[in-house]
Amino acid sequence: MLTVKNLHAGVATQEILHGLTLSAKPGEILALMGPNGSGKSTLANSIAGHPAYTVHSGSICFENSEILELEPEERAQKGIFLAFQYPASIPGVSVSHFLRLALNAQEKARGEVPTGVAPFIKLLRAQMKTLDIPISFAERSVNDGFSGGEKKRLEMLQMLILKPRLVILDEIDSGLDIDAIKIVAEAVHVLKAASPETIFLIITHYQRLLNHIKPDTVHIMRAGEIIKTGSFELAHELEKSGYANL
Amino acid sequence: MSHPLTKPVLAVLAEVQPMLGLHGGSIELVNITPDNIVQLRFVGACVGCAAADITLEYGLKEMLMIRIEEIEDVVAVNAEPVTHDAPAIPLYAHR
Repeated sequence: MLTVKNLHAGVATQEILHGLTLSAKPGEILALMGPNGSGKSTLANSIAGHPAYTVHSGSICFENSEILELEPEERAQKGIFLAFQYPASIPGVSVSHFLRLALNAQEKARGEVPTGVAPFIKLLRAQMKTLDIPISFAERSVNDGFSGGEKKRLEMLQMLILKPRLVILDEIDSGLDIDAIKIVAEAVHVLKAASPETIFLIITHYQRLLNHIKPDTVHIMRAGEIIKTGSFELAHELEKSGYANL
Repeated sequence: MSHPLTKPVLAVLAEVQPMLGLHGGSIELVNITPDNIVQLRFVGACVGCAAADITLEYGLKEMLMIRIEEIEDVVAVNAEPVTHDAPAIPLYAHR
């Protein structure tokens, strides 16, 4: 269960979210739409604990505990995952190392036995097949020289390896071709099948990704607040008439 | 050794030999078991070196298993017990 209550947040002293309230039940897929600057990414980053964003007041509860006081890595250890709009490159760190160390860090924090190298490579290979990523990428540096589509696939690979309980996809579909969008949707379906209680918060401008993922609820944001909530039909409506009529 | 994976495994080992050589060590393929477990032996300065396990776990094993899908695991088997006797040729000498 994710509950965001009366959240006032922004960058430095500028408030972008003006008392946003939102909740999601286990297993729910939420779509968050809205014009540029409406606060979608601010919400995503506030949940993940991005240090550039400040929460002035309100609360964010995930699985019965307040997460606002937690460091970003502690939130990740609780199973919160944010896929970036613009993923960063890490030259010198291989995809395989990066993903295994991320997984092992989460396992250690949860008191589990860290996955060893051999079983990890098998898991990695299987998930890379799901996402149609050549295995040779496992030895390359994280996002270094990757195309836009390859970077987004790597975000999805992280998601499948870490099996988060709250997934936030922040405009994962921006700049993606139709085939890559289908792969993102497939990754969501694979994770949902493996972890039915995982909540998805999908931030997008376009209906195309939602056609493949089928959200349970669609929220429309404007000027830091949710101004309309509806079913998948609301996304269709928006695609036809834009934000002006809301 | 007529295991079908022998050739690709040796090719990967040949790639890492120069790196191990810089540290005065080397690695040999001992055996590949019928269930595709690669057994390696560190030699030279790698024997008894604290970093050898890390080289195996975080370098070689990963590299071999990424490159060769059939491999189930990679383990080190050291035939000789580790000793800390002075080497026949000293790595450095005091004046």
